[in-house]
Amino acid sequence: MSSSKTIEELLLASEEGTLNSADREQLNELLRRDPEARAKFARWQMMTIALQEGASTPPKFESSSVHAESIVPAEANQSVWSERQIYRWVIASAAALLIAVTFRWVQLETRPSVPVAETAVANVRTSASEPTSSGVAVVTQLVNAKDAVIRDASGTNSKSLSVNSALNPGSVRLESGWAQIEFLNGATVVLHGPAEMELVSAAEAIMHRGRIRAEVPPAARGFVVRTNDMKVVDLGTEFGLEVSEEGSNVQVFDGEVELQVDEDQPQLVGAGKSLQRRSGIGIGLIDSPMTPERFVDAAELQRLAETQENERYQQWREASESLRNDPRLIAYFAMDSPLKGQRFLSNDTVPRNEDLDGAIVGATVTKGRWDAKPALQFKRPGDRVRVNVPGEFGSLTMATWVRIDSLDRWYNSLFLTDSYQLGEPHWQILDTGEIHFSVRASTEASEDQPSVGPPHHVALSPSFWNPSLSGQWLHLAVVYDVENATTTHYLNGDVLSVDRIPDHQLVRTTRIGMASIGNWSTPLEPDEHFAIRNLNGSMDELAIFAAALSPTEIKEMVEHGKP
Amino acid sequence: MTDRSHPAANRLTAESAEEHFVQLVTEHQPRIGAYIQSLMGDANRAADVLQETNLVLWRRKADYQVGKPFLPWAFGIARLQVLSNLRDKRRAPSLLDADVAELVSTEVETEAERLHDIQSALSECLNSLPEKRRQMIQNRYFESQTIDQIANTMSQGSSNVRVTLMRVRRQLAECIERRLATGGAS
Repeated sequence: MSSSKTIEELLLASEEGTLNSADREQLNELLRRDPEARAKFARWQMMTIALQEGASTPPKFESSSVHAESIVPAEANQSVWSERQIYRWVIASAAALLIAVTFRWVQLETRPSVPVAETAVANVRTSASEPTSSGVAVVTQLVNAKDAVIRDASGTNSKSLSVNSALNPGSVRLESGWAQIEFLNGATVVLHGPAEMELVSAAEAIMHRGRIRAEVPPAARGFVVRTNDMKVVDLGTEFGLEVSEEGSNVQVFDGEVELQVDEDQPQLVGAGKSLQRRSGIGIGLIDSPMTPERFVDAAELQRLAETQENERYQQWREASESLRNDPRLIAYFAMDSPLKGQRFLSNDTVPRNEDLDGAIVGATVTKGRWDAKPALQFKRPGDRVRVNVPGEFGSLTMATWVRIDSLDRWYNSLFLTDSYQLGEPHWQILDTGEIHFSVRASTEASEDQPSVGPPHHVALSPSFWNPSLSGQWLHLAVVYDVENATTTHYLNGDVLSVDRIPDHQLVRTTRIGMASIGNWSTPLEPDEHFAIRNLNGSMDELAIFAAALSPTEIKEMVEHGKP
Repeated sequence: MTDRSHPAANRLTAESAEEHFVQLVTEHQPRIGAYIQSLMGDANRAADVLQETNLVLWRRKADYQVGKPFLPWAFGIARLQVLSNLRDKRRAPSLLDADVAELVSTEVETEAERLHDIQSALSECLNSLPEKRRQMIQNRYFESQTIDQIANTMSQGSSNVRVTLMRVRRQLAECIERRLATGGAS
């Protein structure tokens, strides 16, 4: 019956993968004979592509907060925001949203990775996919924080807090330590564990238990914190609030707040006042002693954070020093030397081998995992680090700390060899958030010479990316294990996927040669640029081993190096 | 993409010419990719060919004359890469025979050139679809569900779903053509 199939039926079957060879013959015959069929074919294919691209990337059409997050410069992540900074942020958020809506199509022109038909399709998709709907606050500091999680409003999903993550309405719990949370209206709250605070909106929270200190600049006036029996409206000030089994205590350190108990008239409470309301019926507000030292403010938290940060940095340094002597290392870029004003990236393996130093092209120096540590930022299409790694290897392990601002390209490069010839690895992230690792199994094709050998085997991880990871330091590792014929992808020390490489596609001898970090370069001349796979983000450590590291070793790297 | 700098066309240093070229290739990646994938009918192979095409574009960048339309030149190079891939006897047969791919390449080029307009029109056309039909498109193309899966969820036969899907696609195609003809896509 195949002779009766229309071109549409044949193409639909081809998409399904159910096209048999007779069908295929028929399709080709139809196209040979009939110009009308050719036009239909071209239109069908193009529409399929347009439709599929509509889904190839997780929707980036969330709240402005997520966009804003990547726009807020790192230096804004400090204890107290100046009013100007807050305005800048608010304006940036609004602008980001506007841009997202208005110039969606313009972006499509220039950004291959942005899915098609996003705006119009967004309403179709909201039901199906991403829950990231409305960020109301951002975590800007975590110090000694233990068991810091946020549970969404339905109470079914909870996730760990991390610095720079955007928070949706939900309940934040903190077992001990401190978390600094900046509400999108501009109020900064330091939460002192054990505590539970519910985020209601960008300007409202409910304290269930624990201590907070809120700093509310004029721009954020009207910030409201409720407890089960009172409501504190901030009129541009700094105040502390503690909720315990004994009752609630409000202390005003600066400015004034409007305090409302039950249904009573709200009263103004000025600086230097501390009011306590004990649990139980019929007991009103009583004066109590001020204890500002019990409420850590943002500046103090910053100092605590710096101490903690310094400890972490030193811990990493020690681990890094011993790593340098690992004989399995091919190249190691700790990026710990002062990078400013220097256009080479030193290879830190011991004994020192200058030939493996990288050349920094375009990439700029930025803040790394810790304030004192530099990192390299890749932004523009030309940004990259060029390296030349001679030699032949077997198994490979690559591990890096990377901060991704967004996945703009179809392929977002981590480490790519130039020409991608036989035995050369390519490590990159697709715009879908899947990590893509492959070793070329065939010789290189040229214009008129097809390649020889099997097609490469791609080890694709499941998608790990969502926009709330933007701006966070992530540890990515891939282990290409020749002995076991597997490729393993890791995220933050956890296995994302293990992929088995079919025998005929397993390449036992690997090579690197000329390669680029954070980009992809052409093979012709080492200084030529070919920029369509640049990373949009930063990298602050990269290690390449001529061996398959064990899961424990990867985990240790993460433990020693996490920010 | 706030960091994207547009080099002034009149700065004729080698570097800015290269940047300009990179920009062109980058800007036109979606169209070149769509062109290749239409002809290859297989996303994985198409990705390889796109990669090779980019390399050749770069090698031949001296042949490209600034000011001339970039796309026809790039499509020409992409076509050669597609054909050489299809003619490779060691590979499994692709959707099209090489001679057929060559035949349809003109039509595909026309479509790929207006990819952007098609996308804009498509998104509007999707919105005008009845909910059920839009759902079906969403399941099939956004979520990559198989036709059998869709049939199961909708408690219908697979052949029914196939027929409906084909109707919806036809409806969308007509809608797109209408919009493009009236220029109302933007």
